[in-house]
Amino acid sequence: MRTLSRFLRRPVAAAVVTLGLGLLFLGLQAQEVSDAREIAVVVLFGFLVARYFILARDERNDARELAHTKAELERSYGDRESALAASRTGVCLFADGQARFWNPAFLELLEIEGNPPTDWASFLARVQTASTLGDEFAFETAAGKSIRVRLSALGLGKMLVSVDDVTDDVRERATRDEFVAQMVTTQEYDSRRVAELLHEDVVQQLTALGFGLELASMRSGDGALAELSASTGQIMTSLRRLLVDLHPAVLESQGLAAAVDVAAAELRATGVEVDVSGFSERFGSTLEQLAYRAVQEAFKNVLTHSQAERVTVGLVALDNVLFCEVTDDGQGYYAAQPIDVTRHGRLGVKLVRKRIELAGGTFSLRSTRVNGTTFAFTLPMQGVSIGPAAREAEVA
Amino acid sequence: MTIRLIVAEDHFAVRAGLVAYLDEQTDMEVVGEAENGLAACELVRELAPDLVLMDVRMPVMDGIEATRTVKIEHPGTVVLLISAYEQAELVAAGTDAGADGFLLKGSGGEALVARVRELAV
Repeated sequence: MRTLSRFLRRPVAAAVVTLGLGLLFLGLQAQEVSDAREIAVVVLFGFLVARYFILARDERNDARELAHTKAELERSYGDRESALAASRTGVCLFADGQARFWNPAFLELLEIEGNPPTDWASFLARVQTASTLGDEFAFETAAGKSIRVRLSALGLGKMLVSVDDVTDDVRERATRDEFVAQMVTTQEYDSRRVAELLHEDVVQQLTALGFGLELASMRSGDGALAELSASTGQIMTSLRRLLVDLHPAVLESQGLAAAVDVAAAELRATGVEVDVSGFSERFGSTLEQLAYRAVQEAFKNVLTHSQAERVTVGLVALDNVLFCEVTDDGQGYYAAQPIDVTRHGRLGVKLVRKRIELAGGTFSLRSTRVNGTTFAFTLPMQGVSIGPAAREAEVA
Repeated sequence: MTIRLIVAEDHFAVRAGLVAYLDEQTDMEVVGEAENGLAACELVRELAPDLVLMDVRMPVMDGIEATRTVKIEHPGTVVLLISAYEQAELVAAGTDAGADGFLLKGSGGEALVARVRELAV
């Protein structure tokens, strides 16, 4: 029955059969076989009736399906409308620079009464901040709320704008940043204090001892005293290196890239070629100190483990993130495939990773026997905006 | 010719060591000692030395400021700055103040007297 139903739905096949039966009817008529003709007429009639009912049923089914789909679509659309109406995320669609769609949260979060800014320029004027407008930015409303705005270019002159209240996130972040800043400041203060004590006491005593020994050697002609005097000079050199290590004054005065270049001196003194590519911009002291201490740890690892001939340091600031990578061509930590050695416990590296992650950054250390070691981290830059220009052209 | 020197250094042991070593040189005489920059400036006014060996970090008045004062009041007096810190900005600040030379404290006695002779000529 189903096969017949399928067959009858096919207009070409139905036409061929109808024609065949018609010819049969004519042939039978010519031979005056009345019984056969009557049978043919009945078959043809039956076929046409069956086809009519089947097509009618199909039409009813199609209509029902269409109505069902329409209802589903309407329900889905209604659900979406309800969701958008109830959503805490504000949404507005700009097409060809004009606001085409928005939900209540959009108006509420941007503290707009009535209709939204009707065009893109008015919207930008409302949310424009001191920082460069990028794909994502935040600003503070008159009521003191922190609003994050995300811009998604949909192509064909369409821009979807979504806004969220991130006041709690911003407060949490501010608390965390303050904690990190205090932690770094305290640690740096302690380092500075130790450096000052060493300078004010140990270095001075050694200086005096050196002159005393040299004078005694000069007066007595005793070679042993001269050697002791030379030793104090070597101790002074080591101590000076330690002082710089503890309190890198160049970091305060000239910034991260210059300080990293100075920190590379110890590596260079051992014959390692160190290439530092950086920038002259200055960032917050917390970020500079965190980044500097991380690079310093990387250098220590190179010096201690790598037997490298060449080290490259890349410092890049992009989209409010500082990227840093220290790569050496030495022997890695393990002969196996790339491996996260932070899992295998090196206290200095672990502490660096903790500090960076606490500051909202990321850290990775990859090492292979063949390709050396890559020490990489990122740090978010607060209060600095280096991002893409506004997408005004996209929607203009 | 004897080179007349003033040693300005706040740390007593270092100052004593410097004075003893310099006095040992036949062509040098330490005519005064100061424990801070202000005292060094007063001694320069009083004694008009050929050269002042000036520590950078000192209380009351630091070596950079004292150098500036000495070079304004007595341009002919040579000032040799000494410091335990090897910092480019210290050298730059000293040069800016008019210092004639810069020496690290750990350089040793021979390097010191060689530098004094070189500058005092």
